[in-house]
Amino acid sequence: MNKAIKKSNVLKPEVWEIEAAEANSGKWDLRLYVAGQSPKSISAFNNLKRLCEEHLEGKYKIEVIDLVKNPALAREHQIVAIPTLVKRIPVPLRKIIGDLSDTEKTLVGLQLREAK
Amino acid sequence: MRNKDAQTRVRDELTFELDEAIETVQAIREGKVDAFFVSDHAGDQVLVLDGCDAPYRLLVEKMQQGAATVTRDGTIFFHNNRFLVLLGMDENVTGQNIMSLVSEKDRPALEQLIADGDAGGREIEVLFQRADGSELPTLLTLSPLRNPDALCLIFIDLSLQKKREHERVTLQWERNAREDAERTAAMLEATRAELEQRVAERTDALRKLALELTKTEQRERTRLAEILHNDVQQLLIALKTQATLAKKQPARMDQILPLIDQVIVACRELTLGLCTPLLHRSDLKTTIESYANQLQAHHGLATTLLAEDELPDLPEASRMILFEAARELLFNVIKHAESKSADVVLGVEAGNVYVEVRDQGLGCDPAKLLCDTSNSFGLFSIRDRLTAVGGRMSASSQVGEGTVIRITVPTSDRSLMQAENTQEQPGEQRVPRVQRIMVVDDHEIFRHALIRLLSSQGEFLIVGQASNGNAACELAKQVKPDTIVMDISMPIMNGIDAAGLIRAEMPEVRIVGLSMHDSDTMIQAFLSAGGDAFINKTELTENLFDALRCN
Repeated sequence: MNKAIKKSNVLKPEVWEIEAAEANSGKWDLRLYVAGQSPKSISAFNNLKRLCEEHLEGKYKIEVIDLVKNPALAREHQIVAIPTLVKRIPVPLRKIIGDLSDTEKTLVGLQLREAK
Repeated sequence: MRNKDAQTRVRDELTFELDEAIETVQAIREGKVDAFFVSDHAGDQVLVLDGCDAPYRLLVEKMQQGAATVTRDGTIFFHNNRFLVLLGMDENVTGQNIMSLVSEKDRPALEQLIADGDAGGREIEVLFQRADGSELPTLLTLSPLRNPDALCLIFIDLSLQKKREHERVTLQWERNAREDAERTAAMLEATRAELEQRVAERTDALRKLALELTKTEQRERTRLAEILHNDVQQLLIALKTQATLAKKQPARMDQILPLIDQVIVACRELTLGLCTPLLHRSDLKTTIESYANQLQAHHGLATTLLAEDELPDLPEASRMILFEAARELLFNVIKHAESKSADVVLGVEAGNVYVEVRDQGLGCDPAKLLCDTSNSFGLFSIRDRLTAVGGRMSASSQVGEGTVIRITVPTSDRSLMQAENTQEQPGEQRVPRVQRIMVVDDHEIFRHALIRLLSSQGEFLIVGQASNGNAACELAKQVKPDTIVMDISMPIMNGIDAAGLIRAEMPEVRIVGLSMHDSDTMIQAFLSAGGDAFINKTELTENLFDALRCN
């Protein structure tokens, strides 16, 4: 499933354009904002990958944005605290802040599970 | 209604943002985030909480390159462990200036790199001084840090790469040297084979010459016996008869005296045939003239002698060679040219004296005349003797149009002078001079080929061989050679150093240097160290014997 993970270290506008075909394919488009190799960033990435494998196998794409290298990329989604996960597709857009260690809360945030 | 919808939408948005703010605060409180995006007067940046750089530290500590952070003036304020390992240091060098660890010659380049700051990805080779005094070759790069006062310096150990490069160059050099040696050995082998061929040809010719000499001696005995029998004996018998008759008839005494004169003439001719006493007492012109008269009398050859009025004084050996050449050539005119007349010219040209014999006889191929040793033993013998005194022979001939042969000898031939000056004293046994030679070369093939070549000459005795300069010095003391033939490029000790040591201890030894290369610096160093002569290996066969015979 690694092929679905796209790490973008350089600001390339085309990266942000979601292709129509992709949008209609039903594939989840997730973006994880990290700060280099900070411990919480690494935890968030590991937790996200595990959750996706369990609940969205074959139907997701993760883009990892390193804000240490490109701080300006934080503006698009008004990122304040890092790590932050942004669910871009399916709409509505949702943000989940933190290392995603609370699985229940993350699944609710991703709308994969109803809030209790 | 529309107003109410707008209010609802604003409320939902505010609620959403409030939820997000609450979630952010909660995540911070729970320690689920460790970095923040801030935008202030310094621009956009991410602030990372302490401890987050641990993975980077681990990476820096574990990487195989030496890494350090230095200030603009070169002061080290951080370095990884590999930095110390590569430089062989066991103490922290924080606070030292990086320049104190770099070799003096590389400092300006590193100073320039630090002054340039980002260096544009430029890499430079820098030699570090290790703690044990050895040197560490490195490839060094600089990278700027966020803090403009500091630079990150990373270097790679190049010692293994340099060692391999050195090994590759050495290997290539050895391969080239081996190929050179093999080429030279092949060349020497070819020369040796050629020399052997020439020796074989010469030996064969000498064998035939010896046979011819025996036959000639027999013919000469027969001719002398005939002269004694036909002339002298008959005259003596006639004389005895006349003397017997004169006892009774004294008037017959008048007939006795002419017979006595005839006996005297016959005896003189016989003596002249056996030896050329005239040559010892008379000049060359008179001697040749006398012989020409004999040929006319006995064989009917009409000879015209053209001689310069004043010929330079010649050593007796030269006079003898010229006379014998003229005699041989005139006899050839009778024997081979089938001519009844010949011209003999005795002249001087460029300080040399020559005798030239011309005939109008049958003629032949001049190359055959000079080179064929099977049928012209007289000429062959003359040619060899001429070579010995530095003379030469030339011929021009055409079938049906006669032959011209010229024999030239120098008026002051060094070898003749030497030959005359080194006449054996009565009772003194003459010993041939053999030069004792030691051969030194690290290439075994070449050394053996050289030894075979020298040995084949007969005048050189190989008394020892060595494969390097050190061994040569030791061996020279033991065998005390006349001459050392020594390669200049050798392991352990080269030929230049060896020549210096040998010259200091054995000033009388002659040292001849050999090399495939002829750089002026190397030759000058060799000659200054005590070498007597230098020969390029590619011109060995042309020059070595001359250099050795100069001794």
